[in-house]
Amino acid sequence: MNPWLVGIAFAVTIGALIAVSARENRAALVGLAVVLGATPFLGDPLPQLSTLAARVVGGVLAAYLLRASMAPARTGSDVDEDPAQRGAGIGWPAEALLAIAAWLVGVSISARLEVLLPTGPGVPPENALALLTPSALGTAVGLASVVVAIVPALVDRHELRSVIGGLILLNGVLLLRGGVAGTPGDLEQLAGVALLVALAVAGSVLVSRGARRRAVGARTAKSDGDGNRRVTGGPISRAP
Amino acid sequence: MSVLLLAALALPGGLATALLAGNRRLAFAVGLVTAAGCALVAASISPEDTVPIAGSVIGGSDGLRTLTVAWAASTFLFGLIDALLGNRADVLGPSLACLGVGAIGLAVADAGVGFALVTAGAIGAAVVPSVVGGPDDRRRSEPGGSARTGGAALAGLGLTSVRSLLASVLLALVAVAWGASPVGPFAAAGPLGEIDPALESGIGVTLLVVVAALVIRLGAIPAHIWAARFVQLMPSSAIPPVLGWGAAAFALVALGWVDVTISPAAAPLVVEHAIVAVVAVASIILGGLAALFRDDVEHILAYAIVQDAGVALLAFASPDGAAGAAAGRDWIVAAVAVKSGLAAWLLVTRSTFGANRRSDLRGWARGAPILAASLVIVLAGAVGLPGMAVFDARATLVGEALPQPISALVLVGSYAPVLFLGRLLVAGAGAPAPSIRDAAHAAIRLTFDPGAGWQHDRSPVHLVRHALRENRYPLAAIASLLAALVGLVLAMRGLG
Repeated sequence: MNPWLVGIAFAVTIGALIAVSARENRAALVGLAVVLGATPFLGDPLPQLSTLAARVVGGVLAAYLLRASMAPARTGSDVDEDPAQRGAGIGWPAEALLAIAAWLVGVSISARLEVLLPTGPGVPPENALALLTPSALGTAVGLASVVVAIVPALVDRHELRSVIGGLILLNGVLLLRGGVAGTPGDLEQLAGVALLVALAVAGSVLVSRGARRRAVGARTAKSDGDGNRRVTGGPISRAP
Repeated sequence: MSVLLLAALALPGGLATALLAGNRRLAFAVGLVTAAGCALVAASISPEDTVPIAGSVIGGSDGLRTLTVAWAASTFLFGLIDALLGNRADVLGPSLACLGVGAIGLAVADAGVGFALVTAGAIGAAVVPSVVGGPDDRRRSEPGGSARTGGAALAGLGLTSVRSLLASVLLALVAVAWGASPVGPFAAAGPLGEIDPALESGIGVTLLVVVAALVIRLGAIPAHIWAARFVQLMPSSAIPPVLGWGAAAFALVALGWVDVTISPAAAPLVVEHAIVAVVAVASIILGGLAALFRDDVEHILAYAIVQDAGVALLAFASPDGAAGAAAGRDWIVAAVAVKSGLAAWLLVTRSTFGANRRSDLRGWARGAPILAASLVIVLAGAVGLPGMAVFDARATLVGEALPQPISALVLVGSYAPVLFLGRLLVAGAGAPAPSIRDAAHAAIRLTFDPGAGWQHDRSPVHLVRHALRENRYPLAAIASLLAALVGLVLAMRGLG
């Protein structure tokens, strides 16, 4: 067991939890940045320096693109703008429990797979800490990311939360792929970075457009309300 | 090196075009030059052309050359049509980027790289046009699309499209991970190639996972809603990179992976093939019926794509993996090229006549004979004639994957384009509707008067620009005719 790798794995998992369950957008983006920035270091041996740098820069770029697509006034303080679409629907404690369960399943799967490897030990290790191999950590973190992110990625109606969930989900599947099937080649790692950045670019466009649309809608509603007040001298009158 | 050169040309060119989209003329100039250059570079791809890069090998092939040349030519023609019709330049840049990464994805043997790259390109092409150009811009540019668009609908469609593309690539990556794992077919098969029952189950489930990814990616039934809405709401020029060439690249990577991973395992997979065949037949029959019963050309195109996806899925239901894969490759490339021609026809016809319903398009062929020729060529490519690759591929796929007499019925059903495209042609030959009679700009106009002399405002440059402006609709029709010809050529020769 490599304590550094375990620490990174915990950081990535906690980052994923924050990204999908934080109520504030800014906190969710911080969680996403932690996940995408730390994931490249979750491997033993580490990839080539150029590949590692490309993955880190790509991950940070993906998080920054989402940050840049939000105007300063809309980050963090817009929690009560649409509270039903903020944070995980089941709450962070439930998400954390799901992540823990996914960790256990992931480590167990990885232990079984390593037994099956031609170069493997043939029997699972008796020491529980010895189960935390690099591939087991990759599988566990990947599975946890998939479990906590799949709902916001595929169901959430809010663009930002959906895109954050999508990035966490994609990162989780890439981790799972490395954990289950061994460290991918450099080109495959770079292709994963390209996919993450493409998703972030698309997501930033969607987030920007969605925010603009909501702002226009709010202005229109406000002007309609003002007009009605001017006409009726009070709140919007409704037909019986 | 030529594949890398293609990517090195398409990616920065596409990015520059996208960034310059606010300056329409410059964006189209950069984009069209890039697309033409890509077609030239793609023509130089050869099987001997291999480059080791980042621990992998990027290699060319005859099939890749055919595909990328047609893809680049299609991108160029759609850009030209958009430029002539006065549309925005939002689609051309992402289309070029999609071509660049898609070419690399297809040139690498590793399926994980291929799935990731072809999806990365498609995600950009799916979203950027839907949200950069608002409904007002499209109202100016595409008369037929004015009432169908809205900011909320486009934004919702963008999110749905991204989710669909993401779901398909995630499923595919999971399957690839299984294939390379210690319980995958390579590591778990016995020394004599015997199949362990657990491994057979794993192979079957993985085949279904890959097919599920394809069903979502190609827009086959039951995952057709997003594709139908995409065709209905998006600019027509955004259809080929997402549901055409991009989807074809994804399917080719999947076919290659199944060919290497699942087919050699010699597992019978009877139940799994039957499930895939049911989905494919549903797409063929229901897609054809939906195209028949819809009146607007966008839905006809959408359900024609659904039907083509159904035929493509039969490649994964074939017990003879090699024959199915070869026919599947020919079919996928030909179908995509032909439907790109249909999308070009749709774009030009809708812009020329300001109508998108068959009832409103009565007599369109009389007013626009070039467009009529274009649709005739599309029909020929979609149906196929004996000896053409598309004809043989369809017969092989249906015959290999389905038992008699179901295969005969499905084969008949797969010829639905004769009816739904034929109806458009018949409507075009009828008495013109009022909107068609008023569309005088559909015909070629020669306003050059030799007797007027060389006055300052009648210089050759002025005359050429004037003639181009006056004849932009017929010129766009010629471009759509060329797109249809690209489809016909691929329908005749397949992937090669």
